[in-house]
Amino acid sequence: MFDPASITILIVDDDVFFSQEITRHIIENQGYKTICAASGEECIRKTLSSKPDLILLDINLPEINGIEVCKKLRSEENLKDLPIIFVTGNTEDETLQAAFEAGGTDYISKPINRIEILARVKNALSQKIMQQNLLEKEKLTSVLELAGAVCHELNQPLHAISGYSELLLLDVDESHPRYKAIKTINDQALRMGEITAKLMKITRYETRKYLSNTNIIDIDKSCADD
Amino acid sequence: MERKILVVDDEVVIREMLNKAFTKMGYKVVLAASAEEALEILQPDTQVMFLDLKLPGMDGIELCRRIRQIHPVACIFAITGYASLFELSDCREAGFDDYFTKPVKLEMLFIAAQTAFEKIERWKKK
Repeated sequence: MFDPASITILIVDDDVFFSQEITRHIIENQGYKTICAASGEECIRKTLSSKPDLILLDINLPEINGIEVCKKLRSEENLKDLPIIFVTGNTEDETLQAAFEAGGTDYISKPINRIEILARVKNALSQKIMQQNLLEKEKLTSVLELAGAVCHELNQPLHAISGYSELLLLDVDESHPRYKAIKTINDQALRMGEITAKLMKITRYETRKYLSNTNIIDIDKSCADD
Repeated sequence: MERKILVVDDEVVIREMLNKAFTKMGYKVVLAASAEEALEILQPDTQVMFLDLKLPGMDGIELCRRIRQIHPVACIFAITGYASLFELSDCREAGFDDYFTKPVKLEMLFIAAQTAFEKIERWKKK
């Protein structure tokens, strides 16, 4: 379902020489890339700069604890779906409730078990990918429905414009002052027809930058290849 | 013999445009706004037809199937505003000779009509 080498996992633990090191070893042995942080502040900074695919977050951290870190990360719009797995020695109901309320995806109890941590990491990543695929499919379906409706509505008037302008051209000599104007109307109507034809061939959802914060669907990239 | 073309489209603007276009090329044009109307007015001497696929009531695919039963040698062309609405295979199966997507150059329709009449006349000579 995914290649571990394309996944970066951020390991957050203040016990740099033991706990963090063991986790890093287990995770890297499985082929994942890792980055490490020893404090809540460092975790937030590295999450924003390195954009990991998953975070293994120790709850007991100095200064800002893991639960607070998680809340902070979840307040960022683009981090709402980032899998965050808490790692904790404290599995009391209150702690776990606070961890899930803060937006944690899952938790692993300390001391960590290799089988358990790898299975939970894999599950969280698979679920994220499945959600992404589903979202992609939903977006594509709406785009296709909209494209179909727009094309049908536009092709009718375009057919009339291109047809009538072509009829006019049959009566007007190329030297006539109106010829160029009518020819332009005809060419542009046919050009719009090429755009609607492309819209009907959309099979993927690919966007391109439009204005500052807006993305629009890239018709050329989203089309089925001819 | 008079060369007659049937044009079926539910939009009056398109019907009129195609009427003017084919008349200008010297054809006699018969117009219908629906499949039902087309079946009602269709004469045995009409051998070339341009049908819109999306029609109110019976669609162009079904219309083509019905016409094929009465006119096995007619040349029937589909003109559609939304290519994916019907698959190309549906059009073939229904008996269309060719398929155009709107907006289509009149030049293409003129060529199609001319070739169609030539084909029909060749058959008649045999």
